[in-house]
Amino acid sequence: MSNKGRSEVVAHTAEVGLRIYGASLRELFRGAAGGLLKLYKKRGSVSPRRRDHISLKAGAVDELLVLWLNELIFLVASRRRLYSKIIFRELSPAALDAEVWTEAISPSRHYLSGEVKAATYHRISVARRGNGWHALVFFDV
Amino acid sequence: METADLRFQKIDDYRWELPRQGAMRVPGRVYASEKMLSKLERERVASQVANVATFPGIVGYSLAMPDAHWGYGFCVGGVAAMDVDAGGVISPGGVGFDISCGVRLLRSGLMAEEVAPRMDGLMDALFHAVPSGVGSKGKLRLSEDQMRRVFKKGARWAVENGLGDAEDLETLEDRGAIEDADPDGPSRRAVERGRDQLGTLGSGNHFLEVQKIDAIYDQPVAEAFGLFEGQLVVLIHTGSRGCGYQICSDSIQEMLRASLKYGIALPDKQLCCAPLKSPEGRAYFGAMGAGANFARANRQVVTHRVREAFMHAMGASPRELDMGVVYDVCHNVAKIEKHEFAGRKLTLCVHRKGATRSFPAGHPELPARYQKAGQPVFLPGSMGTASYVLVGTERAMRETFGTVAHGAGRRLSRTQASKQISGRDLRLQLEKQGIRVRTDSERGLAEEAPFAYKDVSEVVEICDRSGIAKKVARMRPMGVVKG
Repeated sequence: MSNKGRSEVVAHTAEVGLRIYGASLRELFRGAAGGLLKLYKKRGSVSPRRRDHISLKAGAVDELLVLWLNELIFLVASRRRLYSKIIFRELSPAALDAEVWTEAISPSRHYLSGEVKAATYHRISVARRGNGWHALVFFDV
Repeated sequence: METADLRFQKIDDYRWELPRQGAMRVPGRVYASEKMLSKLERERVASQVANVATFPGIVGYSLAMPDAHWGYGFCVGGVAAMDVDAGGVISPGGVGFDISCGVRLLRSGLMAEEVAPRMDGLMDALFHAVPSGVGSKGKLRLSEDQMRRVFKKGARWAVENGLGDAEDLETLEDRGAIEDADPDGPSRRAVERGRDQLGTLGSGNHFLEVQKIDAIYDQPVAEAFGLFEGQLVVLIHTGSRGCGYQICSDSIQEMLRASLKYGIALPDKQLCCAPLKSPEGRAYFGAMGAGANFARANRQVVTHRVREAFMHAMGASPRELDMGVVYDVCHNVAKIEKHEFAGRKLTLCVHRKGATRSFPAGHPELPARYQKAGQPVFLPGSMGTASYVLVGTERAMRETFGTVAHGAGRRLSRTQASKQISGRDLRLQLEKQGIRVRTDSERGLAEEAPFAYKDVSEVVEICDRSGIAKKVARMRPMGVVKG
């Protein structure tokens, strides 16, 4: 994953959260994608072998972030693919269009030790702060 | 809701009330001892109990069970009943992503002592037979059509396809399937996410334990459940896997729109909801039922694999093993039930989020076999600690819409737990106690360390002394397969 945007894991008694930072909305969403891989406790590098396409619309930016994370969770959990490079063709608080470069999960090269069921709306916040964007998202794990 | 003004007031030694204030439509009520109340993240639980109390149509109290802790939307251990005929709502946040996650107990005709020398081979066989861990896949890969039949028939589908005995169905909640499930409700994505996961444990706090009954508290009820001291039993904890997670994710998007449409103010977006009688409410109820049926089929397939593993490892016939189902009951669900409250007979949508149904003797929903005894309730501990069998009570019907706790309840986050012990050290500790551990994730093992949970025995005592369930038997772990 690109190192643009950053995230830190937030403790929750039963679940887990991510606090995400980015200088722009693109960095924030990229940082969220990178943070999600932390929750999967991914080991092994990922090559950009196939281009997947994600296009989303939402009523608000927090909803867009949850939809984005749940798309990535579906990609990992169901399609069994990990992602490395993300190119946003369009990203506004209400819509997203992205190329996500992925590789099939290989039992010999990749290892995931955490399961992520979904991103939730519990105490969600996505906001501009100073010159950047901050978000807090909790996940069911 | 802001927590500054939320204070629990003592009713008696095991009941605490959160007075109605702000947008709360009913008061909150928590079942806890004074000691337990100090451990249950008072402010966070109070805030979540207060938020749930704002639901349209909520009846009586917004409840929290003795194992309550901070969840998302509802607290874990949260219970709320909405009056269906008075605009009562249904909320995916009151069910959770792991729809119909639950516990099934298998009895056996084996004494634990006779199996003890063969535990290593048995645990290897169980670990091989029941896939566990992140994204675990089972031996079955279902077509979309087969998945839709599972959504309709639940555990009955598994039995019809040779994965279990017809007799198993007699002692499953709802005889293995929620009748109101809509098999076409779940999206194609939910089908895709679950199609190769029947018969798997998954990860997190899901497990399969081989246990020994080491104490009986109520002999007649234990006998009715087919349990006796020294007996080997198997406890299975799993749910609807990726299929349920996807159904919930899909439904929440619909419910956010529905909350706006019906003008429902949300103190937490995860509590998005719709009147049960609305098209959106009915759609979620049908899809949730389909997810619940998938979970019931999953535990049925796991049961079949467990029996195969026992036959292989013990060289015994099904008759010799006698591994019947004591009961199967879920703890993440919303159900339509008839209850009497304050002298009125009501049709309620009872949400149980990390809480177990606890129906008394004589309830029409119970199988004939348990009409005199009452419904079995299981409270699993965490690896290395005891688990308990309890039985439902009339008092639970009167006070908690027939509900009790679902386990020990977490005390520490996963990160905190894994900082305190490595998976390897925990495995050694457990093995010193004579507990065999099989897992493919030592990190996951550490996250589920026994000290990450509250004392299950304390939770059980509160349930028993408050009268919302009564103790029947205690089990000690001999071996655990950890997801």
